Amino acid sequence: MERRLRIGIDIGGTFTDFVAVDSVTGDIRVDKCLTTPDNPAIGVTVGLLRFLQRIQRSAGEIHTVVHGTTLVANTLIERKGARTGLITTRGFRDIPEIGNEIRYDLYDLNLVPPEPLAPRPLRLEVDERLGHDGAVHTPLDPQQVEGVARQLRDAGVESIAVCFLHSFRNPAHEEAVLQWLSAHWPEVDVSLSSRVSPEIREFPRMSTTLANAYVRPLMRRYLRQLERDLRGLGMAGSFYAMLSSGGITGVEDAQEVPIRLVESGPAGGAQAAVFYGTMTGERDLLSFDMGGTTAKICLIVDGQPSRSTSFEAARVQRFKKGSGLPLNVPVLEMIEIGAGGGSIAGVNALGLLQVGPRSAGSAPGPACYGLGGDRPTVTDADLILGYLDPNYFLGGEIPLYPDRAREAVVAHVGQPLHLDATAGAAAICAVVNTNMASAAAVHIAERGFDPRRFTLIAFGGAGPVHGYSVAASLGIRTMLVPLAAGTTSALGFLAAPLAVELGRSYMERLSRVDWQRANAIFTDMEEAGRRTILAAGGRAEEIRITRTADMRYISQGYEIEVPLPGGHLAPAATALADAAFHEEYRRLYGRSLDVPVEILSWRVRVAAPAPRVRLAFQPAGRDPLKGRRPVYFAEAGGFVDCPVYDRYAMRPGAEVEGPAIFEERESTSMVGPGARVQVDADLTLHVKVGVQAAATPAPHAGPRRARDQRSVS
Amino acid sequence: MREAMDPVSLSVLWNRLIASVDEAAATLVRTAFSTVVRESNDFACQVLDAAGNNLAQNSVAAPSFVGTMPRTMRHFLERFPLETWREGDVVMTNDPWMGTGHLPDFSLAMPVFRKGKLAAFAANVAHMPDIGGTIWGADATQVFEEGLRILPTRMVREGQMNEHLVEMIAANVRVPDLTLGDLNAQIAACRMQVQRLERIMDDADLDDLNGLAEGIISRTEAAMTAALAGVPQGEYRYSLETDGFDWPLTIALRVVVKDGRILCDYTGTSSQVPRGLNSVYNYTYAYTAYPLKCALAPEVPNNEGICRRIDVTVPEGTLLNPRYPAPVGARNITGHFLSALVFGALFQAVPHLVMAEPAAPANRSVFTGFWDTGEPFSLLFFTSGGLGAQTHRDGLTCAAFPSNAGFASAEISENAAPVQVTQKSIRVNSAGAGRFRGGFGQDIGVRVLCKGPVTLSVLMDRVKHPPRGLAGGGPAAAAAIVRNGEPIPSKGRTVLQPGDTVLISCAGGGGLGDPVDRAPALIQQDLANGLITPGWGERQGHPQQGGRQPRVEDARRHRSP
Repeated sequence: MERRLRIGIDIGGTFTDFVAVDSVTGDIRVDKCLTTPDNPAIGVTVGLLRFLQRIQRSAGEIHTVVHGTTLVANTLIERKGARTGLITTRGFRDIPEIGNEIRYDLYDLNLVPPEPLAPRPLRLEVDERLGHDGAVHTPLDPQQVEGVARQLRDAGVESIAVCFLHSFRNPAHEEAVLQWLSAHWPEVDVSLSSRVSPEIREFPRMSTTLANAYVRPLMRRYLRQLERDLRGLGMAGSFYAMLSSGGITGVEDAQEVPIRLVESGPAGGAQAAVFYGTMTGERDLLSFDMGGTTAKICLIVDGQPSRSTSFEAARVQRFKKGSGLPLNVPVLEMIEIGAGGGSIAGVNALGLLQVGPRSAGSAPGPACYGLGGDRPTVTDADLILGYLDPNYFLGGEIPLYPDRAREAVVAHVGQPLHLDATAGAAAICAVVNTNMASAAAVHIAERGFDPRRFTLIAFGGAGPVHGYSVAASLGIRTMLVPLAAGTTSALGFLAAPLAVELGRSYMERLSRVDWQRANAIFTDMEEAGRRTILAAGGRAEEIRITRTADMRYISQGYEIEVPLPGGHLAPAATALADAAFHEEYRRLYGRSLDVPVEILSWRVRVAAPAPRVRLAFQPAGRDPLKGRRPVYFAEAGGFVDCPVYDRYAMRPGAEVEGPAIFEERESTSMVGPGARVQVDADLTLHVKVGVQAAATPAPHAGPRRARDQRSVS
Repeated sequence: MREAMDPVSLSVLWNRLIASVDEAAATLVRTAFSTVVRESNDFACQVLDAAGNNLAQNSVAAPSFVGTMPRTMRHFLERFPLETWREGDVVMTNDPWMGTGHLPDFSLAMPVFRKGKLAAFAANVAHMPDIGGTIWGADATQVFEEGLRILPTRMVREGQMNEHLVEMIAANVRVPDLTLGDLNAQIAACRMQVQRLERIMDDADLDDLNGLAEGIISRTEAAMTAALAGVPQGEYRYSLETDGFDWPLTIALRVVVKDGRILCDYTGTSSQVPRGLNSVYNYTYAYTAYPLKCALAPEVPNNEGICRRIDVTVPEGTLLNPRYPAPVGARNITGHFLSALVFGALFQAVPHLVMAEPAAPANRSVFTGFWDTGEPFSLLFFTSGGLGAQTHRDGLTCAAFPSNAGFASAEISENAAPVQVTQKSIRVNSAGAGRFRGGFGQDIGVRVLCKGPVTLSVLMDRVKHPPRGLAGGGPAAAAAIVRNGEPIPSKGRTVLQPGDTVLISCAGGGGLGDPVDRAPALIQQDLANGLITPGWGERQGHPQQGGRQPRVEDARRHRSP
């Protein structure tokens, strides 16, 4: 049987999404089933079997399965991981509890710090000490290792994190502990900080290693069972896991450092945006994924999503920086805003309208669900303004009650602010759109770009409803809305390359870098990356390696990532790196300085090319114009009689002028007066934002515009 | 009376304004050089209206600067009346009395013009890595010893930098590159803020920020008034003694809540001292308003509207309102005490909103010397103790308060200086006992690894006056500093020899309520976690552990419910 089916599976907290693409015909099919949180492998297997039956394909036709999961993140949030112990350097077992001492909220005397993953009695110390250069100051005492191991075993520990000071410079002591444990306590799971996160700063390294240890036994069991079950169905193809960095890896490798899977779902979304960008020739994209609780925004420049080397998981307060567990994990950098369809609107202590970050979730949900929610949400506002059809939400599966929406808006927004239901709903949309646009504007400006060069790509349930206004606010002229926006992450998994990202710390002033040592670090990391890619089925001749270094002016606190050349680096690389740094610094901050530069970390990305995915959506053969209804547009000053189109019946090449509404099962797209919409071969909507809309609020667009006009020579 | 804006426009503009100040702050942090700005968070970016009222600041701004900048702005406007400002100007000062209370902080403001009219100010304050004089410490006897003092001056005129001033600053500081680097970062942040404000006003078609300012400030004031309505009217007092430098000092506070206003009167506080512990009025005001806001209106934005309801009275010539030319370098040691006084007084009115005395002031210790290669180093440790217990929970362990300055990592520190951090651990038994205990302090050990001597400057208090408890709660363990086991001065300088180990012990937080009322489960938990040792609790008045019934005298001490 020909193996030509590529399957993406995104296991969310509530739903598991499936996407199947036939790699020969490009035929794409999607499905959803409920997640089975107690044993997610079962839900996946049963759901996949049903999906295959529905699309009349067999498991034997599967070429590849790529799977992403919120299991790691949820295990950390719900604190349902393994009983975990820590072995660390004498004097440092309280680091996970003390952290960096900074309060994440300046004014809240009742703030709750994140609870360490290992309680104090399970955090044990041994005598050993390395200097900052990796030299042994105090040798490791094997007797003490035996002692603490016995204590942890007696305490019922299942997984152990080992984190010694400066082990990223010299892993010998950590490796010795691993050896001892493998010989004497083989069933315990061990995570070494020098393998999980070989980077300077003991608090985030310890936190990352603990988090890895905490989720690993569970993830190991889960991935093994899932693979066994899939094989049991007759699946003979490759099985990959999506990484937070936007790459994929083999499941064997995934089990080693499962903490790297923590943000796999959102990474899939961003990769899907890259994919659609490639299809439409757009290289600079703002991916805008708005769901029920949050909106996630990722910047894609020249086809590359922006990356970060750290992430914060399991925040005590979801939208408060610093309230979570710091993780040194390569991730696609995203901002998450407390703005989704379920975000609750109300009047705050100042008598001002506030939308989010509190969310009504799916139970009770927005007031218009009629499930007992009485607080107005963004979805209620969307319904009142005519963006949503009360009889076609999730294709009509969930009936919406406009009266409930109006009552809630009037009671909690209208009355306190002296507005009627329509004005209240318009205000809710204005506030939530501004929040998202402002956050995006800050994010874009921090990276030194002008928002107007980007194309916004909207997906997620609420993304296509609000994308047009957000684009207009940012001064963005083009918006893309792909079809089947509800299962985008799973599709993104299929478009993700096999890739590994590795980093090492070696801090040195640029002028004094020992290039022999730098070469050794790169070779070491590149060999490790290559091995992983080959083991996961990548082909040696396709492997591409990119190198970067985290650099800054000496004494600065923030590094910028600077590209370095491949191959053997000679001292001449100093001048190259210096020039590259200054160029990037000038781009970010408009000037460079005459100050020496230093390198902190060295990074490589080892990747195979992204697979080519072809899609072939078949438009339905019916009249695309479903009807008309009154829809509110701020730029028109009120309700306008607006055509409503059936997304599935829009044919390639079709052109429509705004205002218009486009309905599909999982989402609705809205474009305002003056917009021009074109349907491409993949049934993606290309929207040119109307001039009227672009003339209304545009927060912060154009970072350097004003200075150009006003600077005095 | 300026016309206020409708609430929806206000909401939209307000969110954009906050995002824009955070953006300016990000520029400052990412381009700054000094560890004080970027690691210790010792800066603030702000937007002020044309009258100099504080409108918004970045989300995690240093609380003191948020309070001082509007006052500094008034001095700027006195020296440079509104009509003299032009586009591209930057005015700055580091005068302690007009600015933030000590010389290392530079306060800057840049105007925003609309249609030829001055519409608002972009401002920021940051702590410089050096300002000349003696190194940061408490031992100066006059402000002249503490460094270069610059009265309000036009640092930039219409985009042109005053190069003479720049040269003068460079010639007077130990690390001119870093200091000027930070100053440039401050100017860049101002520029960014000005552009954003212009854009916001363009989009919303505003001629100035007055309507927005009035809307936000009057709503904030109303919310603060509402919060004060929840505080029983009356007069509440609290006082405490500090270690001082040469002799102990007293700080006394009388809080009067009446008719929707709150008055804080520090009459009874010690006279100013010939050591750098004096806190100028601006700083005193800021660190009085900050804990008041935390306790009474944590959700309300921090602007002039809060200050309109708060009066702070301090007799001139005292520790909290010193006369020129008093030394003021270590005014943070004194200013950080004020939270304990505000909370102690408010406890009598709204006990559930405050905490017992925290370990503040946080310790600062500066290690300076030379690597064996001959290169100089200077390493600054910020280390925090425990917070006070609250009526409903134990105090937080090792949390920065009231400033929000963090600890750079041990690994980073060991790369930055020839020292070894020998431990950084929770200090067992250091919390004040109580129905709810305080937070625990910490022990930090530092060993000298280089072959030459290292000078240690310490800024520490709470050695003779540990944080006290409230309502029967016990005091925390006092702070301490020893070298090779022997005590050394907690303020001032000590020369360390190669191989010496210094142990800095931070105080815990005070307890709250009678220790006899502490829930046995909580005691067991602390014992299991090794945070207290067996027997410690009993000595502090905890009920007996190990299954024994409380003794008769315990029962007698038990408060009636």
